[in-house]
Amino acid sequence: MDLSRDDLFSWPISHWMEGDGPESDVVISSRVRLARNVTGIPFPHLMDDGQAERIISMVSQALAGGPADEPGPTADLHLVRLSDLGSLQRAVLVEKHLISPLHAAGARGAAVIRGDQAVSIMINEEDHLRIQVLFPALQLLEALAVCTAVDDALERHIDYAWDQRLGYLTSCPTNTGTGMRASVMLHLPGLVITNQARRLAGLINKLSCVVRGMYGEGTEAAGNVFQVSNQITMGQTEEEILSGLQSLTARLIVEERSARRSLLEEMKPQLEDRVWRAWGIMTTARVLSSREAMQLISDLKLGVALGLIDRVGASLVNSIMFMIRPAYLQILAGQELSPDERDIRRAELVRQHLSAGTA
Amino acid sequence: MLCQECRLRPASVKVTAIIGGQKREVHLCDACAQSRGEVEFGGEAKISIGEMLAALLHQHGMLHPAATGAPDIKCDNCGLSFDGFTKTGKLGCSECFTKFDEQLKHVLRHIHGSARHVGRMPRRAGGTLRLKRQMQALRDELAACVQAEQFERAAELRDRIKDLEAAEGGRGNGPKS
Ligand SMILES: [Zn+2]
Ligand SMILES: [Zn+2]
Repeated sequence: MDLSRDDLFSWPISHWMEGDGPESDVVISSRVRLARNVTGIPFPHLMDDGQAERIISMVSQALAGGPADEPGPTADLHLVRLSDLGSLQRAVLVEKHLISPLHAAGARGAAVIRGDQAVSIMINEEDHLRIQVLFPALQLLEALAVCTAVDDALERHIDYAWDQRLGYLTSCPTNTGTGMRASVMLHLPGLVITNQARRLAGLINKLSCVVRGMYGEGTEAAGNVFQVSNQITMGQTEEEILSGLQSLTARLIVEERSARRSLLEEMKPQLEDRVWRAWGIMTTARVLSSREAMQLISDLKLGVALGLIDRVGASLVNSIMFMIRPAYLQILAGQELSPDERDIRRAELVRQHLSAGTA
Repeated sequence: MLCQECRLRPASVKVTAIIGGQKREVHLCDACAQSRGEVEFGGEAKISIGEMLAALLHQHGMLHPAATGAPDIKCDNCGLSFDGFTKTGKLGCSECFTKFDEQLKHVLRHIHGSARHVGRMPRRAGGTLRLKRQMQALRDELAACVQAEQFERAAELRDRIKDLEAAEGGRGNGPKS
């Protein structure tokens, strides 16, 4: 079940990035992550190399126990040690949201990744295990079901740190209890343009949820993409936490759509102009910074969602959002690139994909 | 000139902003200028968990062990001291939760509004735990019945609890908790 580097990086764009599914005009993806630890073994920040290795082999054995090729929660899962990967390759996994920046920085970690890249397990990140499932569009319950199935399969072989009163024990008390962090990635250009984002950020915080940029804590919301996730993990069941996040998401979808509608009513020519300018720049530019590209993609994505432009499909626009990231560009080029070189490659890649996507 | 923020409305004001460490002039419309300088969407004010812990422990009159002169408590399994925990905000291992239980209760209640898990349980623990939860519910009801002098119902409940206790005994070792 070991995975060669070539397999991992010749994989096409993850299925979830194409973003088809319920409410995909606003919701890009849904993610559920469960933090799990092994009883008695120090958490990753205090463990020694031998203990780190024990956790990896525990997971490896637990997965080998299942029928690898038959359909089931552990089918098509592949283990890769981060120490076997170069820094660029790790960075690509971060860009694809398969591992976290913290995980990529550590030398003793490993990741288990499913062939379609919808399931991944970070081993020896902040907790011994973090099982996560990423689905396109709004599919939180579906993601939880898959996450739970993988969790159950592992639990048959691993003695989880669990307490009747406190639930799953985690390295950071902010995760203790269910150990579950669920999040949705939302494209909210309407709310940003109509200056309502701040008002809604207040609402989100009141409802025990947190809002961040696309790549998590401390990242800016490039391209009007935001991540909203649950804040608390104790005192509610997993389903209750999810339904809270789900109804908040539903509310944001309604607000975003109505902002888009009022923009269409009040300034359609300007909006059309903005969308077509984005198209014009993206199909002709020779140098594109990541920041500019994200803004253009946001404009184009909005245009596609509102039917203002039909030259390109929604899933291609979504995929481009992930293809323009620095590490992916460099992997594609087969070499390290300076920021200036990346901007040139980025423009090239965007041009290629948009002209290929044009019917 | 169009507003550089929304790129929809005409720009009406010039604002100096620090972008990526560099001072730049930005042309904005009224609406965007107004929302500038206020809290940015996505940029929540953050305090470290260490700071939060310190504030909490103070609030609950549980000053830092070191500050009260009492000896610092330490987890026997991983060696993490309570002092160490308050510095990083991270527990060291599953045993730390037992060792620092008293302090953690306040921390968890502050973070989650509750210090009791009601969600999923490992399957292995599931059978006996469901029994335990069920028994606790029955005991609570029994106490209420006795209080209300509903002795018939209380006797019924007592029998059911006995049955469950017998069932639990027959299961052998329960989960470690
Ligand atoms: Zn503006
Ligand atoms: Zn410990």
